[in-house]
Amino acid sequence: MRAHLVVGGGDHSSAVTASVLAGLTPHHRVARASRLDGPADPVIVAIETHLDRLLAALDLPAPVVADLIATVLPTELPALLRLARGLAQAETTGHELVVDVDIEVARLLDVPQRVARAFAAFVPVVARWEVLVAPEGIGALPAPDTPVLAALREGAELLESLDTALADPMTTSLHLAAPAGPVGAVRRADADVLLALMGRTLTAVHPVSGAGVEYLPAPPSGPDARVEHDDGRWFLRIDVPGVHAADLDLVRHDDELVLGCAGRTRRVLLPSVLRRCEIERAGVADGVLTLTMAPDEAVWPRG
Amino acid sequence: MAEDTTPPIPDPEEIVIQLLRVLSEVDIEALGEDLRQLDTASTRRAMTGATLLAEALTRATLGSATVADALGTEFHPTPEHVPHRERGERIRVHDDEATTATDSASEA
Repeated sequence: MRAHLVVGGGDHSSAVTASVLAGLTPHHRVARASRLDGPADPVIVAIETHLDRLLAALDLPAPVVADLIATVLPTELPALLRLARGLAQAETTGHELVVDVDIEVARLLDVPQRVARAFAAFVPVVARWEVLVAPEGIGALPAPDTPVLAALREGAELLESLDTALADPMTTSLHLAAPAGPVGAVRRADADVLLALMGRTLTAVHPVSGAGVEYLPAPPSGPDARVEHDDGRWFLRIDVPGVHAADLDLVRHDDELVLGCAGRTRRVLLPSVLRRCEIERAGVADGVLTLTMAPDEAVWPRG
Repeated sequence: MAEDTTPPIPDPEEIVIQLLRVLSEVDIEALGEDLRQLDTASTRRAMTGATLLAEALTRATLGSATVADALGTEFHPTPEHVPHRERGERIRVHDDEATTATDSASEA
């Protein structure tokens, strides 16, 4: 276990964080992340500066520019990058990290994968700007500086590693300390659905009263999609604990699957061997989605 | 109703022929002298323009019916743009728990 995250934003989250910390201290080297704002993250500075210049060159109204920047660089991004850097540092130093996470739980679980993917998708565009967007001297769009490319790569890597860590119950434990009432109920539901699509569950749910902590069982297998091969068919098994077939939407976009449940989605990249296969059947049993796949003759290597 | 006065877009080979005619009338020596007077930024723009023109000529030439016939190639129309939101293949998810329950019931 590398990180213990207390989420949910309840008034008792400090007390829960303290109790998690107290449970660890005798046996582990522990680092507790500060909630104070640090200096602006260099990844955000580089990308935001360029994006601002780019949108300004399009002569769009300022409120529209602000909205577009907020979509690409969500307000939670600085805190998410700080968390990702903290996790990486804890791994390097061998510390256990305990964090009272001040981010809406649905955003914590959803944003890293989305933004990591967007950053990674922009890497080839920025690297081939002259060919794909505008050659130098043509039009008014400013070509990105070298730091933008480095920032996109670093941001994608950090957020991808954060997303992987969040999806792995062996790496992160998630303690929900949500307020009582409807807000707490929504946060619990958000966390349950998003974590189910990640193939895991909350570690524990801490009620406001402090008594009667609910520890949830972790799925028996790891978080990764598992590939099996038998009799010319390939099987891909993805954990979706607690989700039933009727509640699951499944869409394939080229090499990716989009799992949808209760208005939440998560993308799963197909393992390379299955990218040239067609999905014959999909079924859910006991919280495991099983895809039966057969080689697509049109693209399967011959010989 | 007003008539559409937009001239039709000529064939690629027509464009190539017209461009080559224009270029053949350019006084290269005088142009070279003019280019020496240019500042760096304008020179870079001119270089970009020349590159784009060369690319346009190459594309138009290779895209012309004459060259296509000579090479024996066939040009297909550009595929229509499909909006992103309409992409993707929706897959039906079966409830295997019901099947498993039925199987175990029949085995019992």
